[in-house]
Amino acid sequence: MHSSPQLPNRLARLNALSFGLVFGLLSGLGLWLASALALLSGSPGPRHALVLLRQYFPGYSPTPLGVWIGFFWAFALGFTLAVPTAWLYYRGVLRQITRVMRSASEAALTTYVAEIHVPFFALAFGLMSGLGLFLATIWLVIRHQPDAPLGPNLRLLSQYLPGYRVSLIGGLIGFAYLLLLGGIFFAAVGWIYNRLISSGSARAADSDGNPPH
Amino acid sequence: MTERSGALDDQLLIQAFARLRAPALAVSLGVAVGLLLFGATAVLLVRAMLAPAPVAAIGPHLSLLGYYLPGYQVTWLGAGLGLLYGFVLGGALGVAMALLLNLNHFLYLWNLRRKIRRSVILDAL
Repeated sequence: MHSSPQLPNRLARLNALSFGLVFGLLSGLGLWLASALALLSGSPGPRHALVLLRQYFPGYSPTPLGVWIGFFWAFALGFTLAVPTAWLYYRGVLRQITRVMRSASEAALTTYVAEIHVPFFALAFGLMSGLGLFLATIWLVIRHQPDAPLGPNLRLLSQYLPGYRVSLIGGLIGFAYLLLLGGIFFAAVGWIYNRLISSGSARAADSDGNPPH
Repeated sequence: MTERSGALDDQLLIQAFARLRAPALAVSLGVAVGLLLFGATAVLLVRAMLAPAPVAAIGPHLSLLGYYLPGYQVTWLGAGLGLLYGFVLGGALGVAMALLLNLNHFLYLWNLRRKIRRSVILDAL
């Protein structure tokens, strides 16, 4: 038993905020960079494609002011999606620690290399992917004007996700697809990462004569 | 606090503040994003090959990526290029993510240590 039953929750919250900040920042920077490149290129193609994001980000456009509005929106969206995702992941990982696996030291606090817990990682990030598509779909359904086509661009996802359409049912179908496909994608990321760090620590242990962690 | 609960707390702290290894995250995200872009291109190409009538333009929306990834188009060569671009972009994302998360943890712990030292000194006085 931990000295405080709330400790795993508190640490999960801390990590979730940290991950949310980083993910939000990278999302914002990604859109800022894409918009700035579209602005500098002078070609109308990328600008026409990016301007579709205005459906989700009011005020956004690939203009000098619009790139900053896009940064703000992408940061906010990235942060909002990433915090519950990371909280779910870290809470799952930390709450299952019920035994002491390695000797703790001050140095271990800053040098220990994280392994990704693949099932929690795939579940949390698969949920985030699914929820993201569900919300994107529902947003278009809610904002739909009767005289305009409903989500003509998002609908193209049905090329990859048979049965998907821009409707409430389509949103649920999209959620299920991305929960599965996102789960597979992030499970692959976690699996490759773990393989790489375990082979790295095995090599380090070989050269030091120590067992790998 | 018993010795066992203290050790478990230490275990929690170690796991919560564990570092991500940037090269490993770069390779894993790079491989996954590269395969994703290759797969997205390949699906459109295969669907066009299997279509009963010739397709006028394959993946006009996905080929917009060519504005950002020079040379990329919805062809088999473009799919190969997409694999490479995806690896590079996913890798860059992995490095940035690992470094920023590690920096965030480092700064948090550094600030915590600073506060603890300060309170210890003030208590001693």
